[in-house]
Amino acid sequence: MAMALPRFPNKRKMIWLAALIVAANGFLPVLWILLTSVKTETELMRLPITILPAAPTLQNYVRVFTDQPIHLFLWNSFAVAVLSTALCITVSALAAYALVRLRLPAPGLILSVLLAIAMFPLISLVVPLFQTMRSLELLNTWPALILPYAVLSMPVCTMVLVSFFQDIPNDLENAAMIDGCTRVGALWHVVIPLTAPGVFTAAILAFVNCWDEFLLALTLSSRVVKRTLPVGITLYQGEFAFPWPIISAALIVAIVPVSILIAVFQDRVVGGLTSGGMKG
Amino acid sequence: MAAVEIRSVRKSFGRVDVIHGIDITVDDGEFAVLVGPSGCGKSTLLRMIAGLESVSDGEIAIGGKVVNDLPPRERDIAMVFQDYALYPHKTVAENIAFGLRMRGTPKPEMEKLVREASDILQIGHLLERKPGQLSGGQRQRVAMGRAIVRRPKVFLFDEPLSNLDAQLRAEMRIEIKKLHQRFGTTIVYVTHDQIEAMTLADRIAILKGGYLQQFASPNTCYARPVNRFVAGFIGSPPMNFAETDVDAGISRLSLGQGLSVPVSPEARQRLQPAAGRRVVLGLRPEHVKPGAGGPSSVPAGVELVEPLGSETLVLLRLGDALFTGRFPAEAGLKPGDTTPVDCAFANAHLFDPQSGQALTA
Ligand SMILES: Nc1ncnc2c1ncn2[C@@H]1O[C@H](COP(=O)(O)OP(=O)(O)OP(=O)(O)O)[C@@H](O)[C@H]1O
Ligand SMILES: [Mg+2]
Repeated sequence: MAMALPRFPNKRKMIWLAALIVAANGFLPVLWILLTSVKTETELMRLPITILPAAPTLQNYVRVFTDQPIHLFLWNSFAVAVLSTALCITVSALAAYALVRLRLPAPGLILSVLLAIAMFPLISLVVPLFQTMRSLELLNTWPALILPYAVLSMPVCTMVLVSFFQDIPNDLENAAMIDGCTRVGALWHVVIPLTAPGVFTAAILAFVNCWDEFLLALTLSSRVVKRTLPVGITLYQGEFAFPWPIISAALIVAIVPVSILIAVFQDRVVGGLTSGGMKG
Repeated sequence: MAAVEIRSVRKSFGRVDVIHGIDITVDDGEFAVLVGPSGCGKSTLLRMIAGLESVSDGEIAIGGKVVNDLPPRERDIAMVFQDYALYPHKTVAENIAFGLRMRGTPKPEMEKLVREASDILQIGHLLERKPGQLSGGQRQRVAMGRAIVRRPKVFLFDEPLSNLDAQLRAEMRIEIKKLHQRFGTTIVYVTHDQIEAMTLADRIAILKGGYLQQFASPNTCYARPVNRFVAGFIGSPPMNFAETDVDAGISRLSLGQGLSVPVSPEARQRLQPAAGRRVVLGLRPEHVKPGAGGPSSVPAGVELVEPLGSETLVLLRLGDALFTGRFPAEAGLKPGDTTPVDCAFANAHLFDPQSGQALTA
């Protein structure tokens, strides 16, 4: 997508500077957490502050896995994120397809309303959601989180997919339908493969949203064995003590899977698969 | 093998009527071409046959079976699109095989059919490539391979050659004609190129503004156009027209600026319907010939000379009218000259000035 940036005298330098700020803002805290996670608590509290650990230790990581059932948190987070992402992408893809192709009245308005829904502050949804899940007897189950997460990511995923689907020429689907596909078949065999970068982008957005979410996870899943990582990590804090190195290690454990996920799909996200099917 | 029957078909998009009730029956094995100016509804009609557009009113039957409510995949048709519409993420072989795969054809059979189709179209060496690595002509061949591999009942083509250069277009035109001779499958072919229409069609359907003007063989459309629109649309260079008042005796035709052309006794028979009224006279360029001493010879001013190698087209001023004439290659004329011209009125067409309907049979 090309955006018209205002012209600065030194556009290139400005862009580099902006990129640097964004990168620093993202990486420095993570770096700090990483360094903290291999320090001892005494070293961390010592003055003057050391940047590199004097005696690197993996003891904190051992504590992360022994103090709390973090493997359960990981598993819960992972399962909830994967399932809600799958649900979200399935529904968003169908919705986006309908908006782009089915000649609905006022598709733009429908999309705006969808996005407006996403503007609701989450906190206003907590109580009704809690009541709903309790009535459905879903508290402390995966579906209690999977369902709201899928819905919460749906507007933005739909919007991403709409913008990608729009670029697929209509006749490609027509050809597929003449070749023997149903509409959904054409979506699956032709549109989705051609918009793979968009689908992965949407999926990563949805996945990271779930992986990070704290408020609903805390409210709807209070039993220890059903907790997700963000909530689970709070359990490492004692009543009086705040064991920074252990919490840092737990954070690293939470960050690594998402980083790997994004790194693996990076290639696909940047891919350009559509060239050449049409005349151009 | 199947006939395609279009019965009183209408189409509207919202409140806009695009097709106003069309009846066409394409016989089994026939090559029918839909022509007409841009926006006349050719593609819309073709897409209704394919099932890509709903039919607002009327019926479409393929092989005797009404298909109005069948999705495209159940109509047993194949379509070649103007922009090829090849699946960019699949290889040529996968593109061609896709329709077979969707219909559950066993693998060995599928491979055999893909091989056959690609041999017919001479694209066997391209099977492992992606569409992005092909030239325009090769993509067009792949698109045709994808259509023929399933041996459907009807082939639909929507301006398949319009993205190719002139030479390739002529080559592919012959290729399409050969495919039709080989398979004998019913074909409905859309184009706005009247040369394609003339050379390919068994019958041409000429559309204008969502109405069918004429559906007949190329020769009939050329020799006996039903109205002025068809007369002007079919034939290249197009027919010459001039509005004129004809006297009761049909002795002379007045073309304005004091020029009146004598009419031979033989031509009088042909011009009979025009006796004593105002008509639009139509004369094809081959009937505007050089010649002094003919029955209808008059001097004409040369306005423009277009040498074509085999012949020369000359734009001539005859009174108020501008007529194109087919002259021999070595006509030796230049703009500003005056040359004698003989109009063969025995071949003239007459049209009503208001309705445009043909008055000659
Ligand atoms: N989806 C649509 N919604 C509204 N109007 C449409 C739609 N598709 C086509 N039309 C209109 O219907 C008319 C016929 O269109 P069609 O594409 O059939 O023309 P065509 O004869 O194929 O022209 P061309 O030679 O330019 O391809 C046009 O006026 C067009 O604007
Ligand atoms: Mg068209």
